[in-house]
Formats: sequence, C-alpha cells, structure tokens
Amino acid sequence: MVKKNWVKLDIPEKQVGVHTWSAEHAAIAHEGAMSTTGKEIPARPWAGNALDEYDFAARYAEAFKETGSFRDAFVAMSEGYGELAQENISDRIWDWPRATVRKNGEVVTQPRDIVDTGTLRDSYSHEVLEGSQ
Amino acid sequence: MNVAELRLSLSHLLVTELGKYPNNHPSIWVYGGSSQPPGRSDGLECLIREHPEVAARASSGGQRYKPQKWEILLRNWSKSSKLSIAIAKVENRFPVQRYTYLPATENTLEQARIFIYDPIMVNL
Repeated sequence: MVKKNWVKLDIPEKQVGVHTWSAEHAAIAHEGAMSTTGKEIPARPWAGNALDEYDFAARYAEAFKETGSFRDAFVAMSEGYGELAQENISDRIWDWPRATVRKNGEVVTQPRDIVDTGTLRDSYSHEVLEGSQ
Repeated sequence: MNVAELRLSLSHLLVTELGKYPNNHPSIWVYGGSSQPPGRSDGLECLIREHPEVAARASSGGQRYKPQKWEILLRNWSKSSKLSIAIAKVENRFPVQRYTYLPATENTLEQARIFIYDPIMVNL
C-alpha cells in the first residue's frame, strides 16, 4: 500500500481587496461629469486605468514565491494595485481643456496630476476582507 | 465590431430612450475626433469613444489576443428614468466589462460610463 503525505494548502476561501478614496469629489474626479450649465469636467480614472495597467497574475505569482503564502500573496498583490492607482493620481498624465488656478495657488494646464490640496490622494484606504461570502 | 457597427447597434437598441439634438437627430455621437455634438440633447445622450482601448498580449500559434473594449457614456439631460432602462438594455445586449453610475446632483447630470468587452484575435 502506497502511503501519500498530502500537504494541506492554506488557501483562503475568498479574499477581497477594497480600495477606497473617500474624498467628497472622488467620484466626479474619476468619472468626469457634465454640469447642468454645460461645462464639462473630464474623467481622470486613476483607479480604472490601474485595473488595466496592473498585471495582477504576475504580481500574485511573484508575491507567492516571496512569501510562500496564498494569503500574503493576495495582500501584496492588492497593495501593489493600490500603489499604482495612487501613482496615477500623482503623475502628470491627465488631459484638461483649460488652465486652472488651484486652491493651493498653482496655475495648471495639461497634462496635469490630480493633486491640488492632496485631499483625494490622502483619502485613500485599503483593506483585505476574508470570508466565504 | 467597429465603431460604426457599435453606433448602429446602440442607435437601434436605444431608439426609444435617446433624446434629440437641436437638429432633431437622435442624440448619439462618436467622440474623440475634432467634431463636437451638434448642441445639447433634450434627453438621454449616448457618446461613444471613437477608438477602443486596446492592450495587446502575445498569444500562441502566430496569433495575438487583443482584449479591446469600447467606452460609452450615457448622459441624461432630462429628469426622466430612461438612463436606468438604457443601462439594462446595454447589459443585456453586450458583454459589459464594468460600468459606473453617477446620480444627478444639484450641479451635475446623471451619467453612466460603460465598458463593453470586445476581444479580437489577429493573425501575425
């Protein structure tokens, strides 16, 4: 009789990374908007673009090699996505149709970053939820 | 699918939801070039980005997989509930990758940004 020693892998049933920008203007800055008077606020989808740019699978595999843990690899992967999204806020990559005097006094044209007072960038939080739901 | 086919398909799909531009044409417009819509819509407006977003990835067998997606923006210039009907119709008709919805505020219009998944394979 052949005896096999199975290694029980510690795989979380479900993990969810939740990335939140709680600044009041976050939704409009990300999605853009049209004012009721017809003035357009362009979309600057820092989080959506990061979804397309970030190689989740590669980062997960890399983190698993580093940690040997599926749980920790997911956390590292999720953190990496958040870092990329935050970089997108700070990078001068966004179109804007007109010059603007920001609250901090800076006159900006385009391409521009999405950092004025830093409220948006500083409002970021990240958590990883775990469970069966 | 090219942008003309997408526009035609959406104009048929949303024929009862779309508002009209001042020239009395249905308010559906391909944007990204130099031309602007011919005025404000009186109801629901559908804006289609001229070029799909493409991220090419290498594949096997001398082919390349291009996971492209189309971005469409629905804006509601009226107080009607047609935007939610339009979102449901688009979701039923196309493989929607994701969409975001912003309700109307005192200062901004109700809108939804929808990404339609349209992957293609090209021979190298």
